[in-house]
Amino acid sequence: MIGQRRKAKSFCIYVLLLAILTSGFCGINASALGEYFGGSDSLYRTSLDDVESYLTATTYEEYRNVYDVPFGDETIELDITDYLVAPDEGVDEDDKTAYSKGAIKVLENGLGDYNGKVVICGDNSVITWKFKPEESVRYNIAIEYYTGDFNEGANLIAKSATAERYILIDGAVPYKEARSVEFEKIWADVYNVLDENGKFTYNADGSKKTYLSTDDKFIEFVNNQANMNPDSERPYLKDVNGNELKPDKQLIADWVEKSIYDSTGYYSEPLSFYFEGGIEHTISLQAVREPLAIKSIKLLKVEDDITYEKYLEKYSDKKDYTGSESFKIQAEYAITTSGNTIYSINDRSSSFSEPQDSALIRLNEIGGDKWQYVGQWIEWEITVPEEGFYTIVPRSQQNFYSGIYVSRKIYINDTLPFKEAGNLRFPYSDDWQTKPLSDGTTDFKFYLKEGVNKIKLEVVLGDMSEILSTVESSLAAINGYYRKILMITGPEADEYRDYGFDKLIPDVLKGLLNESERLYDVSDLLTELTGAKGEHSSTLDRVALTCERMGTYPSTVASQMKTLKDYTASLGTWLANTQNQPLEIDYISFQAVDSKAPQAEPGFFGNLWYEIQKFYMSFFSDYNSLGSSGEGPDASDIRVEVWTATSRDQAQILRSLVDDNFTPNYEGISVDIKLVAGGTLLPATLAGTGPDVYLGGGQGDPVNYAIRSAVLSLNTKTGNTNIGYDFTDLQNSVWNSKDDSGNYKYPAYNKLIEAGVIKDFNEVSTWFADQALVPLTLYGETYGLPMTMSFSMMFYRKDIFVELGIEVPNTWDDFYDIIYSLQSNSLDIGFPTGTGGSMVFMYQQNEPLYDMGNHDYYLDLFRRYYYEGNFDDISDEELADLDKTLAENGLTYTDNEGNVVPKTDGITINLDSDLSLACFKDVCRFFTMYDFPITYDFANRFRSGEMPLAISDYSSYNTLIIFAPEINGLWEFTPLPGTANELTQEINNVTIGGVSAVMMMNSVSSKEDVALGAWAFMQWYLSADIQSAYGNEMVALLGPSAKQPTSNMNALANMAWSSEEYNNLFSQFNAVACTPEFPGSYIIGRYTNFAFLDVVNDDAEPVEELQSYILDINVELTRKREEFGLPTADSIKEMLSVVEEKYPDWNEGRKD
Amino acid sequence: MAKEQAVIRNDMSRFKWTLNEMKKHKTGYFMALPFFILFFIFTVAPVLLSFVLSFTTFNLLEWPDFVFMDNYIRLLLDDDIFMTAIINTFKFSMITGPGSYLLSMLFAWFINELRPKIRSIMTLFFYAPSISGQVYLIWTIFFSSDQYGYVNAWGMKLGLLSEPVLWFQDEKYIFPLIVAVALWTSLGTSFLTFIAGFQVVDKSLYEAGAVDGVKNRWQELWYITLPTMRPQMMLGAILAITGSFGFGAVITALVGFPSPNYCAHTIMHHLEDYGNSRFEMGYASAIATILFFMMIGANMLVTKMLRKVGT
Repeated sequence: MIGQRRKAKSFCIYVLLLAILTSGFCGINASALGEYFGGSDSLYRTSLDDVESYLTATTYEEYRNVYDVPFGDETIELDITDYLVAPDEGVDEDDKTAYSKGAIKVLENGLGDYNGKVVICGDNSVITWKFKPEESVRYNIAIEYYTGDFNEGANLIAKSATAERYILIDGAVPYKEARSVEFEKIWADVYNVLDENGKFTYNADGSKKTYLSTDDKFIEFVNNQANMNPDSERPYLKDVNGNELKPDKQLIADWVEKSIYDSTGYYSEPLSFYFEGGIEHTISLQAVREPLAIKSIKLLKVEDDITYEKYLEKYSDKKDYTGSESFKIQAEYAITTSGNTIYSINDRSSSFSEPQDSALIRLNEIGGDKWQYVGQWIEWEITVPEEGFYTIVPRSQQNFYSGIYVSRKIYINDTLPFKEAGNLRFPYSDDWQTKPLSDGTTDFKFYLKEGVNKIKLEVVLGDMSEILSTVESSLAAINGYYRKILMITGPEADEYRDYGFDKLIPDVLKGLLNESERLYDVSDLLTELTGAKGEHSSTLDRVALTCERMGTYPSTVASQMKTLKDYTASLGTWLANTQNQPLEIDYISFQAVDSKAPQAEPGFFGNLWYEIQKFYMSFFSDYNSLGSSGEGPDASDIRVEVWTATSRDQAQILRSLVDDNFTPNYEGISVDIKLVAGGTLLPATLAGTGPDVYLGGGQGDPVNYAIRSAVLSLNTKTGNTNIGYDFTDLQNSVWNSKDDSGNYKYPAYNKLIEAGVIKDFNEVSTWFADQALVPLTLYGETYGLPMTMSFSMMFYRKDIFVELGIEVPNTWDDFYDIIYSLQSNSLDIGFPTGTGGSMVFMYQQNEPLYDMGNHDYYLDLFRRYYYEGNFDDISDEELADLDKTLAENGLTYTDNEGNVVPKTDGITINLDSDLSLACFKDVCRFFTMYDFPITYDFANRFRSGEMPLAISDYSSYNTLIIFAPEINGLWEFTPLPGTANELTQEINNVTIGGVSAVMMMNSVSSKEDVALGAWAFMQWYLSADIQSAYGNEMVALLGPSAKQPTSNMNALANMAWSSEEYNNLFSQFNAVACTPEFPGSYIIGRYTNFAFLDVVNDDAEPVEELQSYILDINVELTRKREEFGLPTADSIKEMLSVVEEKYPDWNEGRKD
Repeated sequence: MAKEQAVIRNDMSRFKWTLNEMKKHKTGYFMALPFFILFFIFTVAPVLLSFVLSFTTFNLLEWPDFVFMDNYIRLLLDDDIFMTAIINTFKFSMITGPGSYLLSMLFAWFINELRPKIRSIMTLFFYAPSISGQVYLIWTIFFSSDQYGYVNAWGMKLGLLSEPVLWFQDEKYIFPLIVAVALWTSLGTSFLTFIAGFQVVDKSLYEAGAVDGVKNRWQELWYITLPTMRPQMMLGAILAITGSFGFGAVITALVGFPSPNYCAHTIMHHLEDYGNSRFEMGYASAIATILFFMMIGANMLVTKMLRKVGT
């Protein structure tokens, strides 16, 4: 032992020495790569070729400065159908990169209302066109695309998400802004046609009558000034209490021409591309997400936007409108929006919001934090009676970010009227504002034609764009420098040591000084724009000061590392926040130039009176009952009570889904949704007041509750002991049967079952990953359905891997190989601790967590033990009787195929097998010998690049997308490394998944009629349509970080993943193993964690340590099994001794 | 009148006497009734109920089965972890109970010597940690296991540590750390009562003491101050005992549940383990009953010891 330990120690010292030596070396090496502005060519060549062509550090600004040639003077339209296809022969595989590939289809007869040729390029495609200019020239590129749905086969199915593309010129991304170009869709509101009583009206086929906000009916409505009066009738549906309900959104199919813009909004003008003269170039669109249907692609002749002065000159013959009447649009009556997340909202803060009610919800605004990302727009229509100049006065509020303003760009009839209108400012204020549109200095007037005008407001970064783009590139540079220093010092820099940074990495120090200067400049600019030094500029100043110090005094670099890290993290957060430009709008007024703007807020007494009213009304408002007035519940309905312990928002989404989708489709069943606090389920069940269905049980809950008869099984077969229902064959079930008089017992159910609306258990179980039902199933009976499923995947930083020249590991052998490369550069690896890690190894080698299988052996044992005569001469009848006895004694169950199976799975733990112990030891070595960190903040370390490789739950994706925008596109998640099968060399990369459950509670155990209603709800809720709608609503409500890890495979596929993410996610989704749950399984995590901690804290020997806990685990498993009358390790031992006495050689020939 | 008074006590049974007394003071009883009802329903009844349940196999979801003494037999003879828990609880309460008591006492005494204005400021200063709820969680930030946690980062910077220590995950450090946290948060209500107690001591007693030959401040404290404030000390002691026995939640928040190798597993944790994770309410009730009697025992012990103060 001691010798071993000493050996390990001296080994560690060698590794350390080596690491120190090489880190110095690599430091120099890395710094030599420091300045690569010239695009991808100067990057380290590795086999990560694909990645490489997109990793460019060049910004558009740099590109624009280098290739400052005039724009082409005429618009060139490329022939879309003439895209480059690689000839079958004569081209090297490697050279094919520039050609089109993936799913591409030409539609000869057009799409939507267009009849010409249309090219659809799939979500896995690259499409390339040729272009050869005479002389060197720049162009903007405009693409005309289709926003509607289409389904043209694999990879060509539009999923209503924003399409995203890389733009490649000559096979490479010219600058990083071209790495994410978005083509958004168009959405309209769906209004219900209501009768005079406010009830729904129906079409002949039973669907509700609706109309869109783009339909004439709505357009007429909004263009009539009488309807803009706050007291006039409103198109919204109301709930039982009179609260307005927000309308649904629907995708609008249309052809849209769009110049390629920077989707981050840092550049307000369209992106331009340089083409050298006399050479043939290729222009490619490479898919990131969503297929795209294209009608035309044009290289645009560019006309400069005119200034406001020129604009006034241009319309100098037009008069100002002078009438006293002003014209208004209620902002919530938008015609179209750029996303389904921009919808009407309710403001209760001001009594002047139109319309307002002291007690009820009025959807009186639009926007807010739903309308804050660059590129999102809302379009309205307004009719003015005469042409001329108008002042546009919105009633707006920006009370989200103090100290700064948000910006909008206005389009009037689809054109930007003048340059300054692309940069309208809305300063911060607690109160509502009514100020004419202005850029901060001038109040503008706009020319409107007589009749209908289209007004569109789009989120832009305005003057902030320059600041933000500089800060972002600066932040990326500083993070790069930080990493280079880190590779020399290691994570714990020794401040007393002279590393000699000025000799090792002079360029990094120079770079830091450069960045410091840049940040100071930006900070000054920011102060100038906002008019005061505040928290915003101080965030910048702090980083700038630290960089300055580090650059000026190399000896302080080591001591400033931690400070720099903290400050850059807060700068990253600042960057992410400042990019958001939320603005709420109540109405927009069009009025005579220089006329007085409407009053924005009531006076003191007006406000007081409103607050008093609100307070008084709060005693009478019913905040709990939900549901629409469109249809009332029927008294004869079967009522299913559903509890959920989520947030109120989520319950509300669920409620509206039930109203919109469940109630109309499942006639005769009504669902009550109750929001409860977590932990109420147990006491409520105990008191007999529990729900019928519970959403959101933990992984162990179904089995744990079920063995105590609190949860019902969903596929109970005769002969099994537990209570429950059988939903496996609804056609022939009791719910579809006739009573004595020949009538259907449950006519409502009969209709639904015959129509195939209610799916049966067998069909429902195919919706999930193969293993998702495993934790919810005990001895052949399933006690719940999986609601969410999460699992680990491998996250890695592409840029760092390319920089270090290492490959993404496919197997654990590869993984071991790169540990050295990473650690010699002082970079960390994140890995799940203890059995969390070792179970991955075990399941990849098909080693289960519990002792399973061996059914024949146990069955034989039980039969011989219970049979009184000589078992070898048993007759078939006696055998059947015997099996019945076994089942009655709780020793066996009958599975779906009718086989008798002993309930012996999970009788003991399998962690003491040689393989399990070896796996545990391997994982422990990661933390003892390789010193992987045990506790860490994944998101922060991954973002800073200290931990470029980590195995983490795939939902970390959400965090990274939102909180680390500066590394967008520089990282990826892939399936875990696998274990190669020794014989077949097949790689098994199974990961361990965890689920949460939907359970049917025992309160329906005696209510057969409610049971099927409860099942109908469960299978409805988990169906792909509802899960995707729920997931999309969550994203709409809480932002992209709220992506639901739904367990329904098709629903997950419907969410907005890029095709690369999708492929990775699904190859892992199909390789998820879940550990089963058995009575007493809670004890395993506890004791294995004890063993792991002993190993890490006290250098205990992993194998011995784990073995010492096996007995304790098995004792607890046995004790729990005894409690529930299941066969235990002890009882089997006892039986064995009896049987062996009776049949000394019964087991011969069985042991291989 | 005199005649009536003369009949009392010896002429009737004890029960009748009580009834008689109650009738006489019925207004008082009537006014105490609302509180008593609530107290009975929500405090006394559950205690009695849990005593009953401790003889059953109640699993929270199904009707309990009566098993007589099985739970107690298993608890006392066949549960190693329960023994660990008892030892931990005793170790913990032996240190933190008297420790916090003495600390509160000492600080109260010192603060009492200060001028009134400074006194109230200092009182707030010391009392603040215990009123600010979960403020003890800052210890998890200081002693975070991450290499960027304060103590780890500083320790490594100063060369005291060579690698990050899992402070709240390592048996070696957990116990001292939670004792430190317990003492740190202990200057709570008992500390306030002590301050109040010091204030109500009659100043004339000190003069009388000086005349009777008290020589120094220690004697003054022992013979005059402390005996005078015995009720406050009693309250403080009970608070300290219940506090140290019921410290489980704080430990769970700091160390997690269960603590590594049960090194900080107290009876409260054992109770929680069986009641919440294993659904064995009968067994948990047995644990609770034993904990209840332990607390009563400790209480009696303290009462006896307090009687010795000043003698």
